[in-house]
Amino acid sequence: MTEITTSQIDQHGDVKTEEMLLNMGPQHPSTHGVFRVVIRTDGEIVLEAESHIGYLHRCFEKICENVNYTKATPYTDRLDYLMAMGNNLGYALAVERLMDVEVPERAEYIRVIVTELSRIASHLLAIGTYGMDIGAITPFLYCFRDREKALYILETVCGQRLNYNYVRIGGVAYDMDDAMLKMTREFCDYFLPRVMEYNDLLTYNGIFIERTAHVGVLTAEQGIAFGCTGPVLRGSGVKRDLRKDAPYSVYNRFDFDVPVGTGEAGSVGDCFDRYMVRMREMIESVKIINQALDQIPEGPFKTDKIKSKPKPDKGDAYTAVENARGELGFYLISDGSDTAFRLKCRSPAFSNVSVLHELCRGAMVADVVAIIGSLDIVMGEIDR
Amino acid sequence: MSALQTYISKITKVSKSIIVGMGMTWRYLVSPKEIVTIQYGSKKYAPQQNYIPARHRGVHYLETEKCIQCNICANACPVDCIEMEGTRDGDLDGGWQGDKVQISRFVIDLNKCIFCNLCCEPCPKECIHMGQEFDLAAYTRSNGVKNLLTDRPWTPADADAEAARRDDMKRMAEEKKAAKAAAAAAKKAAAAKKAAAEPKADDKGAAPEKAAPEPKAVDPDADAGQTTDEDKKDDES
Amino acid sequence: MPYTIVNHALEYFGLEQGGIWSFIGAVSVWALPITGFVSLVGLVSIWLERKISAHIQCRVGPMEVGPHGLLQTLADGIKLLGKEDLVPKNADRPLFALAPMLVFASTFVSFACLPFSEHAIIADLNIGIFFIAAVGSLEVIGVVMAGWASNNKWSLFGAIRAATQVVSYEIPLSLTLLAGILCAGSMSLIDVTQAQGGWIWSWFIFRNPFMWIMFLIYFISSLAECQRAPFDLPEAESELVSGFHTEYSGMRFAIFFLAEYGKMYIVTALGVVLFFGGWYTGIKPIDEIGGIAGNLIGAGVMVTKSFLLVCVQMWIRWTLPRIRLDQMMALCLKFLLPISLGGLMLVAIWQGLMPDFKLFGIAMIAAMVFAFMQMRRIYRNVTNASKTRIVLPTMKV
Repeated sequence: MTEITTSQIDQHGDVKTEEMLLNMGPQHPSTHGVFRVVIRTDGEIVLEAESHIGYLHRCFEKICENVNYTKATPYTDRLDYLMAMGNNLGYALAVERLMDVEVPERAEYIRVIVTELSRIASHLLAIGTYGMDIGAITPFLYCFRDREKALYILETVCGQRLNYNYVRIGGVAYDMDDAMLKMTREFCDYFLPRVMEYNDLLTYNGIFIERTAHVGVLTAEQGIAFGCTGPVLRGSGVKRDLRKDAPYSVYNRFDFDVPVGTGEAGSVGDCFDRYMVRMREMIESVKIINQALDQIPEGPFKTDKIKSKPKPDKGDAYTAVENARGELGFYLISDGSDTAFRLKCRSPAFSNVSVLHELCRGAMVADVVAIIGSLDIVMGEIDR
Repeated sequence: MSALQTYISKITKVSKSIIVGMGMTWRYLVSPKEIVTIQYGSKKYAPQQNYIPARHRGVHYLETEKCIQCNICANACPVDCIEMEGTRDGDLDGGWQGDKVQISRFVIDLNKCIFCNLCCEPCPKECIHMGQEFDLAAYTRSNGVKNLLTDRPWTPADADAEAARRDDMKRMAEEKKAAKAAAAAAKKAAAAKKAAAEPKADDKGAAPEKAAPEPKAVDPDADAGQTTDEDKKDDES
Repeated sequence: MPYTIVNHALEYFGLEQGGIWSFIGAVSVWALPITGFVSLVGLVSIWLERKISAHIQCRVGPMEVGPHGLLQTLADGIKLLGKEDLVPKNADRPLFALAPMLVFASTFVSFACLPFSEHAIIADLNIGIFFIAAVGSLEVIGVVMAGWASNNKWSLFGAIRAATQVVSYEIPLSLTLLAGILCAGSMSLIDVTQAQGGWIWSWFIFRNPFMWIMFLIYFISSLAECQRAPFDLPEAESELVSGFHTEYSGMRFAIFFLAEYGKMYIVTALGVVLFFGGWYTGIKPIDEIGGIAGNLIGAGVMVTKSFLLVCVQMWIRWTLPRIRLDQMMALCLKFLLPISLGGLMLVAIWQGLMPDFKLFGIAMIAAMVFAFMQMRRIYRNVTNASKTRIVLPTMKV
């Protein structure tokens, strides 16, 4: 034991303390992938959090410029691997806009159904792991139990559980037969009461509210300034949803709400609001799926105008879809060959994670975990 | 007073929510509605049937008799994990002997494969499929390379056999080349002789007899026989 | 009595009292069975934890080793025993090695004063409760040592959190212990239990209405004391990787693990002794059986009661999220401390005015039986009330 010397005591008579640099990640249980945050702490208080990305970089855009349009579809699966349907859809829409082809009605409806199912699966994972970040392990397993059911439907439809490669240019890869549609409706009926269970167990748990309310408050101005989209922005009270604001596919035919954060537990834009927006969005997704199942027409599931190697004319196209994490955009430039001249991907999680240092300032170490969890980042998409 | 009220209401609120949550877990503890996990590899404790959907995209398999060696699947692959080799003429030992094609090598590198199904869709004969097998654990990387002709991993023995086959093919190609060259030479010689012998119309049978032994000495096989037959036909015509 | 056996043996062999042989005799007679018991408690608790968590989470838990996976923990222990003993390069080696032993020692020593039944106790100290409280808080020294010696920032965080937590929760814990001591008028665990002999309403928990509050506070503080969820901040898996034992592996980690489960048994056993009548079944004729049979029944009752409380601890762990450091301190200083102080005062007043007022206990048991019969309805009411509050605005089910 060393004695405290005078040099260690500042002029106010307090013991001089030192700041600590804490390296959170890239291998850490709750950074959701290979994400590294360097935290400068004063005791348990975070003074500064600096995020480092790039551990999962794999040249997605460059690969897509070297393979033809069809071959690039499976690569888009690997972006936001928790909602691969949305990625496929965004890419397919971009190429379709480039080629100016119409997609059969049935294909559009199938796309909506699988995308919304995928969104439910993705949000379930986000909620479950968020509970685990906070320290409750059981909700995670309940969420996975139900996610499993959604994934089983997707596996039955397209043969894979995570990297679907199902939504193709000009339609979908296979048809959804009646048994699969029936399975989807059964899932919807099963799912709604389960939301109550999550609420009982996690959402309205006093400790959970204490942990998430007033934590990591993102104001609407900040959110817009940092280019946040999706549940992160909606949690701050901004009603921005591309499915409503710039409807793609057949989303304009469905009746659904856009849940926004209202600050019911704490202040608007805190972790609880972001969590709650995801919770409510799952119910909206169920509503959309039910309507789509009611309206789905008969017909072909793939247009026959697209060949195996599509060759668009010279030009460019940008499409954006509302993914589980926000606005996913694809910008394509074609030089007339069967390979894209340039593909630019605008990934939502990349913009969302950029607010991390703003939210973490002044929070506690345990809050950093809560904030990262509430941003719901997927490293496959951030690093691309 | 209001401070005390908020104090007490906070206690009641939190404890109520805790009781609600604990009641929920209690219900699961005493009567789990369903057991959702399955013991991997055994069906002993699995309450539900452990089955895989029909469209499941697992490890590939090949209907070899249908394959026509068109290489379309290999071209469609985004990660270039399919390799095939074979001939449509000439016959080989080992591999697959079809009516029209001989496949000496059809392997898929499952270490690279991303199971996207893009190889199966463009197949003109619908002969490559994605199966139900998903267990891809292997001790070495070379075990992850599957030989679609034998439905087994690509073993060193396969590699040796393939090398031998390649040698055979090379040799055969060379022989063919040599035979062709010899045949061409013989033809030329025959033509020259013919041209030389044209004035003498009586010496017709002498030329084939002289030309025939030369290719036979190079090729005692059927190929050589064919060539000689052809030569004969040529000569006869 | 415990050391009479040893003493008799020493006299028989003509050896000197209090010498080295006395020490060896005490170790062989008492330390070995306790080691066995601690290991057994660890095995059973870990198995219970796995099974309870599994059933809560719609799983089956370990099933392969032994019937219903009973021997799984043993297999894991053997695996841990066979693992390489890794010490980080820059660790403080002596402290690193000492820490798990110190943690285990504090748990182990506490068993010396824990009664299993009237005569099955190693040392009936007249300050037994004080001894357990004092020795139990030694654990935190080991934890801090582990965190410091690992030379890992996460471990250090965990260690400091553990120190903060254990030291602050000592206060409400001790106050609730005082309530029990107040009722019994003794610090000896045997005396405390014997004061609760007789029918079930003479247990301290039914002595007066404030004992329930004291018991709840005791239970919450004991959760914090043995670092169980929702107070598992020192080893917060999602925040601090694994807290103070991040760098530990193999048998050293197993010792930490064993100490944790041993500690769980100790706090619950202490709670049983102080509030739930120790080894008494609460039925007078059974309790009056003396001799070996009575002691065996008593030990069985004691262990069962303790394990029931351990199961409640596990049930809580698999339900609740973890609280934050400042909330943990706020809970202790703003809620538990004033309430336990007030409760202690009220208990003292009740004890002074009507020490032998049994009618209240009977009324309370009657109320509890009624409440238990109406449990389903009450729970439904509670959940319905919560559901009206939590219905999501866009939800039509």
